[in-house]
Amino acid sequence: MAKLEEIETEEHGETTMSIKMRRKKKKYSIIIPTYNERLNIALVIYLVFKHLQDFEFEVIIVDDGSPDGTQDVIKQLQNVYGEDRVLLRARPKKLGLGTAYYHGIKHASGDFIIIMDADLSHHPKYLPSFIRKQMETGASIVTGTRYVRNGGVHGWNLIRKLTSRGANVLAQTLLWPGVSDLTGSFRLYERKAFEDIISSVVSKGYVFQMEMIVRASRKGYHIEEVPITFVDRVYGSSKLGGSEILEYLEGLVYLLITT
Amino acid sequence: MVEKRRIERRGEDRRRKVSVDVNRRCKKDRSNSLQVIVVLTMKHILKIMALVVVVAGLWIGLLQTSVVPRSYTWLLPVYLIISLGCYGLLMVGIGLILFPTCPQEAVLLQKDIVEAKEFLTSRGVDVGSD
Repeated sequence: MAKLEEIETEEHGETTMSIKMRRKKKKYSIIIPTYNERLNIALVIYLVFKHLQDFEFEVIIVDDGSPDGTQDVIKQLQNVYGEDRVLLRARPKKLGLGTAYYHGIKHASGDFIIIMDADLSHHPKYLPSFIRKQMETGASIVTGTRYVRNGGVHGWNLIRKLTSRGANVLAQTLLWPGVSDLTGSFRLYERKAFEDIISSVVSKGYVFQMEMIVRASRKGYHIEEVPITFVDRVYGSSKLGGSEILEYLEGLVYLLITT
Repeated sequence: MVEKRRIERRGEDRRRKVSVDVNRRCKKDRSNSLQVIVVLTMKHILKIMALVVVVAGLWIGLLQTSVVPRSYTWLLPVYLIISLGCYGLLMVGIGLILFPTCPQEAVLLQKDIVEAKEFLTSRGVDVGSD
């Protein structure tokens, strides 16, 4: 690293310290909450390691006491990839998504936090595009969006698409969030932005994701989007019933009033 | 030794002068930017209520000055709400027609899964299906 002169002034806007930090390689912490993802988590880890070969990263898996043996598979993965890169930080039982991220970040050592799902609906091949977008634009948050032209969804029937689109239009009209995909959970955050926002979020489930991005938008963080494709639940089942719709509407009203 | 100390002191004075200038400039801009900051940091619900108040004011103004015949003016809010609803439905419809899909991604994903399973079983990771 080049030695810099002791006499630098604040006119240049940068001190020795910040130039040194810029030159240091950035580390990315990927937090993946899991519950009963015994098969999918192994596939996800393989793909993450395949696509992030040029970057420094760690994967933190927050497992909520899965009864199907997910943690055993993770321990086998640790033997293959190393315990310094695949971290298992388990919890005794299902304690919720928001607290899972909170738990994960306490063990994270990266400059950036990436969150994604364990069920292969988020393909790790998009991770480099998140990182590149952040480096190009200097954004604090990069969020994946399924609803733009280069993105897309596979495995949804017409009713599902209708509810998704209706929900999106409603949220855009009421909240003016500045992003096209509010409930997406494939995102990259700067570490301090993540810690700042998560401290003021109280919602659970997917409303948590909405609240994170809306609060980030209100606080003025620079948010960028990248298109991602979403292949719904290869193994397993996902439900969208009346209670989810009600939860969504309650979340919208809550965000409308409190942000 | 003396030369070095003189250079350091000059550097210090330069830094102090720059920081004083920046403070002075900040105080001048503060009053202008204060108004912008108030709008930007207003709660979202207040922004919407402000918009509603403006629209209501316009409506009452129209009622008072009777530029447009009274009977129409009374129904304007209803027209507004109906047109908003129609716009919403149009947006949903257009979005549904133009909903981006990616059937090829499912095929690619299956290929990735096969590749992953091969590698992992060769390294002793249990990838049997649930």
